[in-house]
Amino acid sequence: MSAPTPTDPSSGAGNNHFGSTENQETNLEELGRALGWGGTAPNSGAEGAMSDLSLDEVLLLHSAALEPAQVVFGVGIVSIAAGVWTWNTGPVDDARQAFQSALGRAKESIQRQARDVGAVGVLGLDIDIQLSPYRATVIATGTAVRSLKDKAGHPQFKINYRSPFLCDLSARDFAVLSSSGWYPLDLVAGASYIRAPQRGIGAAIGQATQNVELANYTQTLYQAREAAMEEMQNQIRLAGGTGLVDAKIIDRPVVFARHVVEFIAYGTAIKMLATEHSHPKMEMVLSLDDATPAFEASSLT
Amino acid sequence: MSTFPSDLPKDANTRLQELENGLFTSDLSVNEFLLVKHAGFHPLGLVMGSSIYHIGLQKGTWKSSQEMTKLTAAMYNARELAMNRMEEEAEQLGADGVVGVRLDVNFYEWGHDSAEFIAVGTAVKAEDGSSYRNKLGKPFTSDLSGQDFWTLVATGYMPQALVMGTCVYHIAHRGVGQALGQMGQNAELTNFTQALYDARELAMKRMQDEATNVGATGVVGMRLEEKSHQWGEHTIEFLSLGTAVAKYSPEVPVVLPRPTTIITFDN
Repeated sequence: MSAPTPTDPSSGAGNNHFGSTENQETNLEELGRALGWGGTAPNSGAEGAMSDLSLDEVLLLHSAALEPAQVVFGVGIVSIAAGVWTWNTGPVDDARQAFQSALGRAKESIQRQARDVGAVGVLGLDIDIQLSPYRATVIATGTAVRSLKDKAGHPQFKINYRSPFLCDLSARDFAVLSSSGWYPLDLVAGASYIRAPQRGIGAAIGQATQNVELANYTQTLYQAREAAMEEMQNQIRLAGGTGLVDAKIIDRPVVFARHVVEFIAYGTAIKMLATEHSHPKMEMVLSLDDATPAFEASSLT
Repeated sequence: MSTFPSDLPKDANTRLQELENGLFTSDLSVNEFLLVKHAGFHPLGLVMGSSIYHIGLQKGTWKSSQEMTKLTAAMYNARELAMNRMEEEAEQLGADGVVGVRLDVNFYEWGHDSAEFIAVGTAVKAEDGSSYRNKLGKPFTSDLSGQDFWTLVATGYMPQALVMGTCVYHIAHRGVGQALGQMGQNAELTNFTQALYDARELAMKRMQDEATNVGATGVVGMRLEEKSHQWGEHTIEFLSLGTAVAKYSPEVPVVLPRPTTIITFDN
């Protein structure tokens, strides 16, 4: 989870809770509420909040009319039939299905817990994916958030979700995104496991000194990628989303079967729920701190 | 729908067809997404190109510094294949360009002497309907982040192409006599210096030529990477990469607001 950096243009303007003195009292009150102190909790009768969010993030959430409710946790473990990691060519469908249903189970149990605490959604989901020859395991942790209530007890958060949304964006990202009119819907993922074809010895010797593209390998990797990405796109559509930001891509050989390529893409499906995209107000800042680059182009590679 | 480029594997086609219906995917962060929107562009989809390439054999002579032309050709060719496929995907989506391009090389265990070259980025299109393609009529490519892209566009420049130059160079070993003679002395190892200079100059020159080809007036965010991959420590690839830029309209005034100076209380 990325904490707001001081030079970040989008986090400063508008939401500056520490900046001016006249706001200090309300800030302290808000902080107290966030930490579950005193009798001024907005959801009277509710327990104190438990969350793994930082203070900054809690304050940002308050600006979006939300507060943390509880840390939620879900696990899905699904077995994989024996004998699927062979040297045949083609996809390992069993592993893909096991991954998807493990993720489904983890998501289900998180949504159940979120519903139990009256949350509108879950932020900052951290997804841990483990694969062994006989099972796929998905562990997900996040923070359920619920709407702040006004004096009359009506929820202040205006978006009506049918079931709690799931997203792996940080509270900070959520605040920025929602202030532009976009809202998260669901955590979506696509996976595929594809066995690389074996190169014939003849071909290997013939090509030993040459520069050539290995077309069948390229094809295999493309297949793995495209299948996973397409599955992810289908899930976005099913969730009713129009896009996905911050896609995470896992692309690696399977540890215990190195000839199998694992390709997993996941991220948060989002949708525009306001009437139009509103651009965040930006302000250029120049930090007079000693140079720590806020961004380095080389970090992209 | 546009015709499908023949070079793209057919699996890519079905996915891209879906993206043409208004769904978008992107690996831009939330900040980058909002900044790209702010610059007047909308993301269309994650585009990628990939090629698994068998790199031929070429042995350097122990005592001579020389370019390994066959290896250079392999590194060039494989990256071109990956980049072109990515551009084709962008082309099919009707994109104006691709931002946040990452070029990676993966070595897999199952492919001896072969490597996967990948190019991944987010295809974008201008929301005002005008075309921002480069002088060659192709979508621009750029390895700039969303933040850098916004800043660049705000100053009236547009990326033209991700340009690169590469050179695989074998650096001569020192002779025994020379090594003995220099033992205990302060001396510049001129043959090493010379070899590294030559290789770097070759790589940078090639990158500049690519930039000139697309009619760019400069290259920003340039970096030089040195890797010896799997060839042992005397054979090194020098790769220079950067985004070629040009002013898209001489009339656009530079309207960057005067920055506020801040001192943070953070550590």
